[in-house]
Amino acid sequence: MPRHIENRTKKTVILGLMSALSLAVYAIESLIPPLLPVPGIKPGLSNIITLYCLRVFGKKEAGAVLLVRILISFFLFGNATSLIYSLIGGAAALGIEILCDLLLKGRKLCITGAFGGLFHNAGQLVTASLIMGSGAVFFYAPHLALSGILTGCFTGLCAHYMLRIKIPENP
Amino acid sequence: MRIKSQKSAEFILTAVLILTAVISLALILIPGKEKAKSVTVISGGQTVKTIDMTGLSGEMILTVFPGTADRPPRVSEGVALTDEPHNTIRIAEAGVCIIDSDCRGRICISQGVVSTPGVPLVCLPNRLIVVINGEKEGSVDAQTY
Repeated sequence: MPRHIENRTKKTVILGLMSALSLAVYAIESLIPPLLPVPGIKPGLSNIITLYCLRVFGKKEAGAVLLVRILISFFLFGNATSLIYSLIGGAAALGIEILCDLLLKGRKLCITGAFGGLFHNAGQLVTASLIMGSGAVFFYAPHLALSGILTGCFTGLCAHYMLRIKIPENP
Repeated sequence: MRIKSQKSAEFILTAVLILTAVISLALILIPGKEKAKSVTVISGGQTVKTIDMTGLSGEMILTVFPGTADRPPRVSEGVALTDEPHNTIRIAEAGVCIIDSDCRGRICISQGVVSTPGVPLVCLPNRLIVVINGEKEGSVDAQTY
C-alpha cells in the first residue's frame, strides 16, 4: 500500500478512536455528581482530547473530533438545550485554544487549557443568560471564571502528559 | 527573537489568567451590603411572580411549571405531586430555597437557602431563576452583582 494512503488510513483510525475516547470521558464525567452548588461547574475532561488532537493533528482535526463528540452525545442523550451549550462552549474554547497555541508555539499546554476552560465557561454563561432570559446568572461569572481556569489548567497538564505517550509506528 | 516573543506571550497570558483569577476570587469573597426586599421568580425569561418579602408572615410555598412551545409558564401555590417539569420554592423571612425539582443533578436544591440580594437560585434545565431584590443601604458596590 502506498505510504500516503496508509498514513491517511492511520490518521482516520486514530481520529475515530479519539472521538470515541472523548465521548467515553464525557459520559463518565456526566456520572460524577456536582461537587459545588453552582450551575455549570464541571471538570471538562474531554478538553484533554481536544488539546491532544490540536497538538498532534491540528486545528481542523481537533474541531472535527470536538464536533463529532458533541453531535454523538446529542444523539445518545438527546438534549437540545445541552447541545446549544456544548456547541457554543466548545467553539469558544477551541477558538481561544488555537490562538493561544499559536502564540505559545505549542508549549505550556496548561496556559492554553486554562484559557480554553475560561472561554468555555464564558460562552456558556452568555448562552445561559440568553436562554434563561435574565442577566441574574452573571452573578456566577467569578465562580465560573475561577473554576474554568483551574479545571482548564488541570486538563492542559493531562494533555501534556498524554502527549508524552508515543503511539507505536508499527505495532 | 523567536524565543523572546514566545516568552513574552507566555508571560502576558499567565498574567491575564492570574489577574482574572484574583479579581474573581475578590468578587466571590466580598459580600453584598443590601437588605432583602422582594423576590422575583423568572421562568424562561418571563417574570411569573414577584413577592414582597417585607410583608411576609410565615412561609410561602410556590410551584413553578416551565413553559413549553404551546403554553406559557405557570405558578401554583403549595407543593405539587407531579411528574411534569417543575420547581417548588419556599419563601420565608430567613430566605428563599428550592425544595423540590424534577431536574437532573438537583443543583437548584443544593444551592440551599439564599437571603442575600443579587444571589440567584438557578435551575438551568427548567430555565428558572429566583432572585432576591435588594433595598439599598447607603453606598453599595454594584460590582458585586
